[in-house]
Amino acid sequence: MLDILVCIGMVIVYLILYYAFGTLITRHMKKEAASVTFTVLAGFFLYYAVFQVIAIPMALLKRPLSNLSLSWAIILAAVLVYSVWNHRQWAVAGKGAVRLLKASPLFWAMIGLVLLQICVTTVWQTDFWDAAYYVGDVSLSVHTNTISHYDPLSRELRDVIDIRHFFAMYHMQDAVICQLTGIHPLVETKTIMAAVVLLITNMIYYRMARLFFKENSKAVLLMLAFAFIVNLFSYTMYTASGFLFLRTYEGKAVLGNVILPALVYYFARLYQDADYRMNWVLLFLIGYAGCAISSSAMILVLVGIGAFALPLCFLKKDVKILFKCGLCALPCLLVTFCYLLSRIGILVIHI
Amino acid sequence: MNLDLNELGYRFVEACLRNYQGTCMFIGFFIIALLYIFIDGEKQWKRFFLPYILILLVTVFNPLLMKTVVSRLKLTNEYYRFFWLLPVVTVLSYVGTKVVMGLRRFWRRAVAALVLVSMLVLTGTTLKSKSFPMATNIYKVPEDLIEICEMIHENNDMWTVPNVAFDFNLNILATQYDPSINAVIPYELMMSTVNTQATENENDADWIRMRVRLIEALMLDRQIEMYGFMQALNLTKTQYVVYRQDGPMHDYLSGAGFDYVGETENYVVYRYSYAKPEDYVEPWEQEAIETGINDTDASQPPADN
Repeated sequence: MLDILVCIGMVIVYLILYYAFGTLITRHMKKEAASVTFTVLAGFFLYYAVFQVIAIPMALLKRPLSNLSLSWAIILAAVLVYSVWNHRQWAVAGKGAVRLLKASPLFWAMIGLVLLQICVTTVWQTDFWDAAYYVGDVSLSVHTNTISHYDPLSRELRDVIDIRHFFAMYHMQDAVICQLTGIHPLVETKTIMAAVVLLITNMIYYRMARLFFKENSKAVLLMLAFAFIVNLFSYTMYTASGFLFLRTYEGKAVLGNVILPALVYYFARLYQDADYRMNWVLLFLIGYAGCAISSSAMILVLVGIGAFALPLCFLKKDVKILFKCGLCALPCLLVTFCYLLSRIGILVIHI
Repeated sequence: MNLDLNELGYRFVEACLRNYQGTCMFIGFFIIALLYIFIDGEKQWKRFFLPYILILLVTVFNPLLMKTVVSRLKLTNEYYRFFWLLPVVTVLSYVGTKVVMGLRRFWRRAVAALVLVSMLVLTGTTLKSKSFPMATNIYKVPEDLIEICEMIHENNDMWTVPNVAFDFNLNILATQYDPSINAVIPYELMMSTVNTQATENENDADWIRMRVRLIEALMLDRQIEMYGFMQALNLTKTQYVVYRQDGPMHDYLSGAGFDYVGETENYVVYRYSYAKPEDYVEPWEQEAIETGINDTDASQPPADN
């Protein structure tokens, strides 16, 4: 029972942290500042983008994981204090949440639907081989106090950095949290983060539903329910839905269920208002955070941005849009470039 | 996906799609939903979804283009992820909602919702089809693994990091659950050997040959020559073996010098009864050992592993 309470507590902590990070962005957005879901979403991407900025140099300098953990703890504390210090947004969000909880049974229905999905995700004992790599990497990094210096499949010290997975520091964030809190890596990856990813996924569908149906709460709830049914009944080994419910601990699950749907959402906002600067900031954040979360994002997010950019450019009759989209895709291009250099043997970083 | 690009050629994309959606029909429903948007959707969403999908069709789902790109970038096993670019869940749930909410009476909406959900349920594949067990603990590992790790730590009085040859079903989880125990058999070698029912190959490095011997004996239940098995145990510095209760090799393991440590519902834990050599080196240290065979170090992976 205590373990379950710890998991629930950590999920709440994550949401608070994402919200704190999100306020750094939405404080500049008048309309969205009052939206908890919008702020949490923005904060989710900013959180992993900032983590990657800290983690990559430490990994290159072969610093122990404890150094990264301490640095990250300081940054989290600083962001939290700064965010709460400017407490107006927290007060508005708090009042809004209390109002919804009291007034809207549909809101409770949405919460129930999400909790059902979290149960579906967290009750299974799954043994996919990718977990041996990704979760094993977290476990081994915590155990050896290194930043992914040991190959989790062979348990041997790596000679060179695996460039393909190097930039996706998502799992090292799990290792940091495990080291800071003492939570077991299996609990952190397969229960806590699984629940967090489910929540974030549903927040994106909620935001999309609000975009489509505005203030029609019944339609929003119905769209969330349909999304759940589609995900639940489109399981194969390869679909994003399969990853969402069974392999949520992988960066690929976040890519298929959070990053790419968020890309669709933020581009939908751009289609409505391509002149609003913050929409471009958010799109850049997706491009950057995508690569920080999953190595596959370097190509998929790049293709996604390209596929949306051309029609947007024609629709708005503004060539500068292509340039802005190119900037947003720059992180993906850089990571892809590094990966290709490593494939042909030019970029080799020894440990 | 285990698809051969050279064999499939221009049919690669189609084959990937068939594998991707399995027996589900959600891609078909997605196309119908796009047609709905094209015919009856709001202008802004027509302009949003349709050009995006068309560009994807012409680029990443273009069989002519992808045959070259996938081959050059070696994306055969990862190509299926491009299907994630299709906003299937968003479009299906949006169109489903539009259809239902477009009806006036509550009972008509209920019937429409029921019909749409039934279509998804009856034509879809759910998680239940995969038959995963329910988790019995917070770590989501078999209870056996937890007991076995505790047993080994209690019994271990000689080594900082005990080397353990786990059973096939526990090997994937061992490092995840308890990285302070060294799983001697690497996961990829285990999968390739068991899946192909391979035997020891004289041309492989000792590091691989010794571990293949362990896999043959402990996972494929082959009673290999006793001396060879003991040699593999010594050279890989295996201290414990976890073998399944219903397996046929218990007498063989006793004959090889294993002592019974304990058991769980499904597994028996054995300890290899040799004293810790004075020159014993922990697994984390890199050094060559003297094997007397090809002067190779069977405790470390070969350089080109």
